[in-house]
Amino acid sequence: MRYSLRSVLSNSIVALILACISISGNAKSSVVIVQGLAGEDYYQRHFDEQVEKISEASAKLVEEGDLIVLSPEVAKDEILATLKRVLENSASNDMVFLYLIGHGSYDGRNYKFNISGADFTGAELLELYASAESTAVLINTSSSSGGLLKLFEEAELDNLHLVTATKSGAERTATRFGRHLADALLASEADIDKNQSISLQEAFDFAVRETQGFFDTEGLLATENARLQIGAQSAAPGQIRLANLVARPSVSANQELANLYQQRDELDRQIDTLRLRRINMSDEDYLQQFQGLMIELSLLQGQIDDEEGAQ
Amino acid sequence: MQRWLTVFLFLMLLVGNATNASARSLHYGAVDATEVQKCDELQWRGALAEANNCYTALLSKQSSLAIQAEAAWALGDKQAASRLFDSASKQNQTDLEKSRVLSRWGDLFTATYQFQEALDLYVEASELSTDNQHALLGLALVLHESSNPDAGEQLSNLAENSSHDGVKLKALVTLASIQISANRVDEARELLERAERIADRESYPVIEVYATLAAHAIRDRSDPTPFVEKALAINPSYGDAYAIPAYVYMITFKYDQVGEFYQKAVDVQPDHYFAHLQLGANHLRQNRSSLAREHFSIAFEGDSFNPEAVNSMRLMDTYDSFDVLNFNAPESKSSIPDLSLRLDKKERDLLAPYVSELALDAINEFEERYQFKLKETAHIEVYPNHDDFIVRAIGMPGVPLLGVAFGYLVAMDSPSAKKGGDYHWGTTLWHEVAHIFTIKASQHNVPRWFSEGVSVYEEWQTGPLALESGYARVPLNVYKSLEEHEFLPIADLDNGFSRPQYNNQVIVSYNQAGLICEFVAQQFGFEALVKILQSYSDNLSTVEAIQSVLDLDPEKFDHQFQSYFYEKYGDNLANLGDWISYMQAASAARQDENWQEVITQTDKAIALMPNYSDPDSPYLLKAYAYEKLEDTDKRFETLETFWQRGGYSPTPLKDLANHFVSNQLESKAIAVLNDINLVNPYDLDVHLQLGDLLLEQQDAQQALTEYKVAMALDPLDKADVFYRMGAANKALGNTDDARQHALAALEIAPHFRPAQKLLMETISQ
Repeated sequence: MRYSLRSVLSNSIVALILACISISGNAKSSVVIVQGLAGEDYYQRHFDEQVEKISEASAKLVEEGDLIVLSPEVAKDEILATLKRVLENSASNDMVFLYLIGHGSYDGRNYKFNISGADFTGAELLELYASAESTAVLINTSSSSGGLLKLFEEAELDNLHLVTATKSGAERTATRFGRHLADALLASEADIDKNQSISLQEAFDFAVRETQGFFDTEGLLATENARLQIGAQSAAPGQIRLANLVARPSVSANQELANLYQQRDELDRQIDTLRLRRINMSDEDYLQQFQGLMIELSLLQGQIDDEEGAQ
Repeated sequence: MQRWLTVFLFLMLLVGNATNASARSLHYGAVDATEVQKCDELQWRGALAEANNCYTALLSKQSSLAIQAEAAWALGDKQAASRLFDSASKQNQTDLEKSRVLSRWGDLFTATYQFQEALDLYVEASELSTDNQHALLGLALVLHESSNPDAGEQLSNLAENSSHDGVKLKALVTLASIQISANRVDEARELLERAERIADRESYPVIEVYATLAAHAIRDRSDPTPFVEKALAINPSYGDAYAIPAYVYMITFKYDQVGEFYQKAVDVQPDHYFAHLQLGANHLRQNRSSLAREHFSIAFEGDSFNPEAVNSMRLMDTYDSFDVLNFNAPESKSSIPDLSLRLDKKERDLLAPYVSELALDAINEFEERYQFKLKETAHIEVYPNHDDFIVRAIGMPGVPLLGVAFGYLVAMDSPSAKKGGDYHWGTTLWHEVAHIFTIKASQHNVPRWFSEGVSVYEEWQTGPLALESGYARVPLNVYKSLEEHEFLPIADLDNGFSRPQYNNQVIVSYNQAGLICEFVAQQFGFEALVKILQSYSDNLSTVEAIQSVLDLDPEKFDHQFQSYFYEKYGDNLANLGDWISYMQAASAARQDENWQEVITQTDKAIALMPNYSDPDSPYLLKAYAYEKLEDTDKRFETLETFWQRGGYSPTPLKDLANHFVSNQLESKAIAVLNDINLVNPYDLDVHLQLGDLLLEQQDAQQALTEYKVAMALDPLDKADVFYRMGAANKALGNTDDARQHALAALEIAPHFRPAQKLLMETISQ
């Protein structure tokens, strides 16, 4: 075995700091899930499962009225109007998530998402984000979804993160990425930093790994290569929470627990600060201070566990 | 099934080119221009400076284009020669003249390894004039190079019926080489005597005949020196005087002599690029990569047309991505490593624990069984890229080979080089390590069949898939072939590997060799097998060894072996048709989702061959049927039997391991998971599950190994693996390591509660 604990520590710093910074507590999140036409039973079953999983995970993240699921029968105009309304109603520190679950197509110029009646195009979709103030995430799990990448680049949508299941419009085979991404939102294995929530980065990494694993295991050439494109002004993907694995207990009736949470948040900030200073510290100093903070955090977590257990 | 494909190494070695194809070789009258012949005479006598002057003079415009082409070729400018032959072929001339130009142009293409182009030219030349016998000879030689089975017949026809003595001579020498490869020394001798008489009578150069006689002498276990000296007396710069006999040393595993002869070849003829290439390959076999690189480089610079040279240079470039790790057996007192692994850096941490443990086990087992202690470090190279491995083995890609052994050096495919999950790399390793013993204990005198036979026999008796009963895992396609073909006599068994006469004969020979070893061990005692091996070190032939150790002549031996085989395995042969019918019926029932019928039919197949557990075994289909019927107990009972009979398909075995865990049968689960690693060591879940079970069973050291391998797989959830490594270290009493691993986990996941607890425990200690 050859690895260096030091390199593990330093390599993970940036990603982890970003992962630990949470979106402002006052921000509102909205989720829109658009399910496209399946074409056959096999895909219908899978698309239904994906929508169900994403809905279940999102329900722990957003208020009831902020989760919208649009079924395959919904027409283009209504889909675009719904998304437009959600974006317009979101403030600059809000989050808007759009999931496209279905099949896509690409004719060499235009990407289209397959729905009942006329399909909507990539250009029509991205146009909606042009005036949006909120941070937005568009997760397109369809075949040929990579056809959006060039448009995204040209549109310069700084507040939007784009996830596509394929690297280009030419990857036309029905994808597996979506089912793994949906799994990630409910999977503790995807929760790399063990903070009981799944970030955009964690979900993407998990889904990519599982998709690749499928092709490797089957000895097949990969027919899809997912991409994550980051908007220039957006929060980092590690910061953006797609799902909570557990609901945080209410603290309104327990001041002691509220104080403990507050202390833990403070310790988290100290850990983040230490990591930011890491580059100017010796390994020995850093590890000593890091260990000190982790001991404090462990003791505090013990108290939180006791208090939560008593609730 | 794939593991049998190791045999192809020997096939390829035998059909490989033994001569310096790149040079302008002896043409035996294919060129009739006296000006060229005068220069050739100087060249073939080793008067190189004079020959060069002579050829240079022929480049003058006054010479014909065909003569200029010959001169350019002789002076090393093959591209100019090709252009000149092209122009010459377009001149006004008789059909015979044009035919001769085309066949010489074909010879040039042959010399530059462009066999298809050569073939086309020979065909065109022979269609233009039936009098041009050299075109037919060129055609036959290209077929021979390409291992085409028609080559022998065509060469024989030319040797017997050609009206051109030069053609007859070359055909005889080539046929003699084939017979030498096939160890038919008497036939080879007769052919060479005929060739020598023609050369003397017609004043053709005789040096190639002498070099081939030297090869014959080696095969006939006599001294090649007189023939080498005769050739060198005529042409002191004739590298083939050594290179041609060196080839016989190579196919009989005598790598020290291979190196010595190819070295002498390049000493007397520094531009013998084929010898440089072979010398490089031989250095690589003996783990001298710097010297190998040096000679590959010379071969590539001098003969960049040779694809083997190109591939070998590319292979050497990949060596930078390998690491070398040395190991000693736990109780070893040796000052040198017992084992040295060369592993790709990306797979090093993943494979090293398993490969080293299994290889050291094999060495220990074989040292005891064959009463031979290795005198040097055993080197094992594992290649994640199959083409790199093949180039390392035989110089050219495209052969379905899994492993090779060159004395103390083994090279093999990594499990990552094979997709599909049915490559049992552990068995391949076991097989190849057995070769080290048969090759070294016999002082490189072991015949091919015996070396393969022992390796196969050891797979069945002591390998990772061996059953207590020592059941011979003969593939079904071998039984199938035996319905139409017979076993070869033992005296001729080597030819089943090197000169197969039907599609599956190599595989059949492989198994026949293993069964013969089983027969000897069972009928005469295992020590008889060891004695036969030892007798090869005294330079005895197979017939002599059988006579000396078993007191049997080969005919009686063959008779007794056949009786043994049919008595013990005759039922398998007789039942094969029924077995196939039952499996077809089971498969049809599966299509109809008639699961009870699947069980009925697979039961019938199992009853006929209960030990057959390859990936297409009836057990897996039967277990699947029980799964469909939701009969969990029967499903896992079936899978357990499959596993106990040597079944190794990873996916069902993972299910079986989980079943054992669910039923608190942890020891069995550990055994199953360990077996999975010998097929597929890339499954993260297997390593984590195995590590956890080992930790529960208080085997923290092995658990730590599994967790380290899990980390080498670059898991997504590294915090979890760091935590487990910390827990194993804590169990081993390595508190500081445990603390560091807990911190590493927390660095990734500060809220990871088990890691927090581990940190606190290590600090409080």
